[in-house]
Order: sequence, then C-alpha cells, then structure tokens
Amino acid sequence: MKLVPFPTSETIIAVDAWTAPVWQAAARGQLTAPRCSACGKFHMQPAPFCPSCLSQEFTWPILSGRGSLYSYTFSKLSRESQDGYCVAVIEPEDAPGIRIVSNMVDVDSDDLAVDMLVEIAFFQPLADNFALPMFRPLKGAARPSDPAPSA
Amino acid sequence: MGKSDVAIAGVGASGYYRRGESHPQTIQELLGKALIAAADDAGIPIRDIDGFAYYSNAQAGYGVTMETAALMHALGIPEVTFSATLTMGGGGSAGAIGLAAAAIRNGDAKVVAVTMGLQQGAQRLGAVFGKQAPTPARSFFTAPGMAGPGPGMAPLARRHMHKYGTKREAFAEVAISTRINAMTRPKALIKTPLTLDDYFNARMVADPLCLHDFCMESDGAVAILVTSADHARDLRHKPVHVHACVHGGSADWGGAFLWHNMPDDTYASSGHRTIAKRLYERAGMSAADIDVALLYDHFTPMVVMQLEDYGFCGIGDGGPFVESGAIRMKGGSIPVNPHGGHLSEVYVIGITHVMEAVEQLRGKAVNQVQGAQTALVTGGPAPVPVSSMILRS
Repeated sequence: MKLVPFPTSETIIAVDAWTAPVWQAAARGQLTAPRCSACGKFHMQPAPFCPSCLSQEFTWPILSGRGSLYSYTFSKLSRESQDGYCVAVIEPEDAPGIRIVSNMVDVDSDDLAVDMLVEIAFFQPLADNFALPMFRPLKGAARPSDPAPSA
Repeated sequence: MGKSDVAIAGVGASGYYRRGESHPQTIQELLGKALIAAADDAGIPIRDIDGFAYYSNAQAGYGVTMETAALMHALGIPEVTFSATLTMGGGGSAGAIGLAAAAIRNGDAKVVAVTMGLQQGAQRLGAVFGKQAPTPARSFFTAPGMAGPGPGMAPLARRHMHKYGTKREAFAEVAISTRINAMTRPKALIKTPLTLDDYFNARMVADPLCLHDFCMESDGAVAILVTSADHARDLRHKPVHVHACVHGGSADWGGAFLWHNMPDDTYASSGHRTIAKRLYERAGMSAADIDVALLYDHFTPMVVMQLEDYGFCGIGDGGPFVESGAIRMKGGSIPVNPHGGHLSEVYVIGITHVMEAVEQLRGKAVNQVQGAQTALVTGGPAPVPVSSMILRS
C-alpha cells in the first residue's frame, strides 16, 4: 500500500508555552526536543519541569532528523482508498530516551520494518503555519531482517 | 491476607444494544434500569442506595456525565452520603469497586452503587481523539493520525511481535475463544462462529490489528451494589467478597502511553505490572490462586500482555500460551472472559467484567467455571489509573 501523509487539512494544533518550541521549529523545517539544561536529559512530551531533576531550564537542540522506526501501524485513508498512512514511532538518533510520533512516507507498507533507519523526508504543513516532520527510509541503509525475535 | 469485610450484594444491567440502537432511551434511563435490576438482585429497595462510586471521571463515554443528582431524582433516592469518582477512563473499572469499599469501610455510606453506561450513537469512541478539542498534549498524536485507541495500541502489538516473535494467530485465538464463550450467552451481541480463516480474511483496521482484534461498539449500562459483608449476608445472594482491589500505575507506562515514550522493557506490555504486584501482595495470592480471569479486552493483544503481566505465563510468552488453548473454557488452565467480554458480548467500559465475576463466584454464570472461588478482574490497559481486583466467594 502506498503511504501518504495523514490528511491534515482539519488538524488544529494546540500549544502552550512548553510545547510551542517543537511546533515553531517544525514550521522552520527543523526537528527539536526539549533537553534539560541542568541534567542534560531529553524528554517528551514537553512539560513545565524536567521529570528527572525538576529544572525548568531547557535548551532546544536542532536534531539531525535521522533515527530508527521503533514501531508503527498503518491504515487505509478510507475504506475505498488504495492509499494509506502510517503512524510511526521514531527514535531520534541524537536524542536518547525519547520517541516522537509521526508518519512514514516514500515507502510501501510492505517495505516497512521495525528498527529500520529513517530520515526526515519533508515537513508537512499544518494549519496556523505549524508543520509535522514526515520520515522515510534512510537512503542507502540496509533493511533490517524482520521479524527477528530477540532470544 | 486480603479482606472479607466488604462484599458485592447485587448486580444488574439494562438491555445491550448495537451502537445507537438504545435510542430513544437516554443514558439516565439505561443507568436507571441497571440500578433497579441491581437492587432487585440484592433484594433491597432502591432508596437504600446511599452512595455512588464512578470511574472514568463519571463520564459515560466521552462528554456524557453520570450525575448523581439526576439518578437520585429519577429513582427516588432521598439522600446520599457519598459520591466520588476515579479519574481518567476505563482503566478504573475494577478500581471503582475499591472506591466503594473505602466508603463502606469509612462509614461514609451503607450501600454504594458503582455504575457505568455507554451510548455510542453520537460519538464513536474509536475516533474520539480527533473529535475532542485539541490540547497541547493530544496534538502530538492527533496530528500524525492517531485518531483513537486502536492506532494507539497497534504499535505496542507490533513491538510485541517483533520482540518476542508473537504471531497474529495468538491475537486470533483471543478473539475466537472469546467468541465461543459468547455464543451460548443469550444477551451477547455477537454470536456468529469465528474461524481462523474468518480472522485472517477480515478487514485490516490498524495493521497488525484487524476488525476482530477490536472490541465492539455498543450501548448499555450495568450497576454493581457494594455493601458491608455483614449486611450482604442478610440479603438474597451469597456475598461475593472484595478480597483485594488496587488502582494506579507507573509513570513509565501510564504516563507515556499514547505518545509512546515508554521504556523498551515495558513498551510491549499492558501497563499493569506494578499494580499486579501490589494486588497479589495485598491479596496474599498469586496467579496460581485465580480460578477465572475477567480481563479488559478492548484489543486482543492487550489480553495477551495482561496474561503476562499478571503472571499466568512469562513475559513474552503470552502468544504461545494462548495458542496452547490455555484461556479456553474447555481444557484451559485459566478461563478468560466466559461472558464473551468486550469483543463479543458487549462493550460497557469494563463493568460487565465485574458483573460476570460476581455471577461466576455465585456459581450461577451462564458459562460457569466449575467450583470457581476466586476471580481476577482488570480495568485498562489505559492511561493512569489502571486497576484490578480479586473477588472471592
């Protein structure tokens, strides 16, 4: 099944002071996540306090946009549609301990695999000038064997 | 260990309906019919109810509130001395019995009704996230299309398959064994036979979850009456004791669920491990002591993962365990959901599982587990709180 971005024409993004930087960065074409200035840990979702040390000071490093596909699901856009969308759980390579939920594109659903390497393909525009990063298989990466039960 | 001072004395239900077919009854009417039936079952006048304990923020589904004052008005209940709710959602379905028990033990009320109803004609729960007003937290998963609980659970199922080698045949077995149980239940909404071929030919909804992995969409209401064991002994039925009941959950799972930031060792789990441990400690029991399990079955993989988290099999072994026939009424080591569960009987956000546990321990269930003396009931997997309890005869 061909995978396309989840239709976002009606999606309204609500933000608060702590989540806005993620969406504002995406609007600029950048992926970011909050990193505690005191203890250095990343966390998602953004919240008023670092859950590890309760600091309220964060930096917002620009991430590479590469990572791996921790898990995923996909559905048809509608019962009649030939196309689908994939809700993807992504582990960024340079933000240990967090995952972000996004879409996979530029790939057939049959070619998805848990733990495959991915990269940002483009940022899908949303209402209010926000955007959402879309991921695709990392160009040139080998496909992990799937499924591979860990002993 | 465990307690014997509080008991369930009455259970009752409205009719069960496919989504929207309970119209033109209102939610108060469905709840009222369940409460009247529960009072009749206990053999007490309904005006003896003097407390209400809810879960799911006293919401009958999303956006419909169960109001104590409206129920009092409709049913002629003159005064209540307790009215409280657990927070969040269906995860509290077992825990609300604990809330009622706390009220009884504290002397706040003498007969506490736990009730839940649902009408999905106006709002289907499967698409509820996208219909709710956006919040900063929800926006992170609604924007990429996680429109309801199904796409939220499916990545956990896939990770379980990847990590442990679990097959879709295991999920199919949960659906099939539950269907077999429903087929002999007069009130069950889905009684058509389900084969492995039917399962694999069914429409995929959120891969790897197909239509038969999802609970049904339905309308109905159930009420449970909780009172002191001393009082219950004077009533119509043999008391069913609230041996142990817990609710809560870990931030690792129940806080991170839906934005999928659980640690790898608990990601592909039901989110019940911490409360399962606490339940068994409080009860002085282990999985080996449970005669029948009423597991919250909104999605088949979550039954597999609860069997692991409650110690009926090892972590990661749930697939082969169910495929061996272990959860079947006939020949299984731990019969699961003899009433047909959410998958085939009716979905009323967990409370039918409480009612079935009571009927099993009275020895009067339609599909009776012979000699059942203990029953495990779970609520969730869902965001905190999830809950569980052990009832005994």
